[in-house]
Amino acid sequence: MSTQPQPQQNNNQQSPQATAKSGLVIGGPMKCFLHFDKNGENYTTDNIDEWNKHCHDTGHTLSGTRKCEDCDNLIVYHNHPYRNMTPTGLALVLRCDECNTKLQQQEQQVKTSKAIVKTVGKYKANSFSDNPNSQLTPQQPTNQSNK
Amino acid sequence: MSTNQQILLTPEQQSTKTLKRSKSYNPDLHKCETYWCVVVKRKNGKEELLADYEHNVFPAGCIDSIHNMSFINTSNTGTRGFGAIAVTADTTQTLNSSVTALTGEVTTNGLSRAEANNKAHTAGTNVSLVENTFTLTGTQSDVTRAALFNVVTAPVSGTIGPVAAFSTSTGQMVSGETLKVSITITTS
Repeated sequence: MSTQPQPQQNNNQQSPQATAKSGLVIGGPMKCFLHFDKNGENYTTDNIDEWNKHCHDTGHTLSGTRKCEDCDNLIVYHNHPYRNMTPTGLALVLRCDECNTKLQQQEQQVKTSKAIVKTVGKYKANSFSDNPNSQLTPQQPTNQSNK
Repeated sequence: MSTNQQILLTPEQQSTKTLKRSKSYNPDLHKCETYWCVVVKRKNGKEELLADYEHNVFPAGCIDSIHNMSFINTSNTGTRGFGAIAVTADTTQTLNSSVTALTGEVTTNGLSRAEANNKAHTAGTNVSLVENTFTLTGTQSDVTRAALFNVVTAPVSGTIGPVAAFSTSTGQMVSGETLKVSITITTS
């Protein structure tokens, strides 16, 4: 009686079809030259999630060029902390100095507006609790002298 | 007459003329590969994944350019990197290492060859990313393939780099929709 060897499932050697279904495993290895696995080999993986985790946890950095998120100016960057690879690209958003300043100013304005609204709301609430008619009927001056 | 004349071999005669693999060489690991992701964003905000880390075809001309850029050229005015992305609606071209152009390269509707707006290399690894987002300015049907080039001017210029076919074509695309092509490159 002969027995046929059963195919063994190996997550590191999936077929292209399996690759397409999983969305996480690619057909060739990504390799780190700075860190090693338990066997003393360079860390290697086909798995995007594992790769992202490795690069994040071990402090890998990114260098490259990227267009400003708002104005399309080209930004050259070096040694930026690692950001994940995703099917929709690198999870990295950069803004040039000018656009970053504008954004901060806008955020500051929004904060200020919110603070004003909050203050006015508080004032109105206090006024209403002190004098429910204060906003409907302006108070008459009481300290005017008739001359 | 000397009887102790030494016979010297020329370097060519000395050579075994075979590549010497390093001890750690693994034919399954030592390759240059690209893997392509393509995402279409429809006007209603829905995103469709058309290529999910699809493996490339690596043309011979690209290998030549990589060698020239990396080891041969003596100035930085030589061949530039493969950072321009082109797309096509063609499905007839046979994609293999002999390709020298992208048949039917699209040159209109916002899909003309473009310098990738994002490029990144992860230090200490064999991984780089090149990606670009095309925003349509007209109607275009069935984009099916994309390729990297080392010249932005299109079409039929420069050397073609890695090229890949999408799992699914884009179908009809209209103005305002976007096509994002992201390429993960591994070399070791």
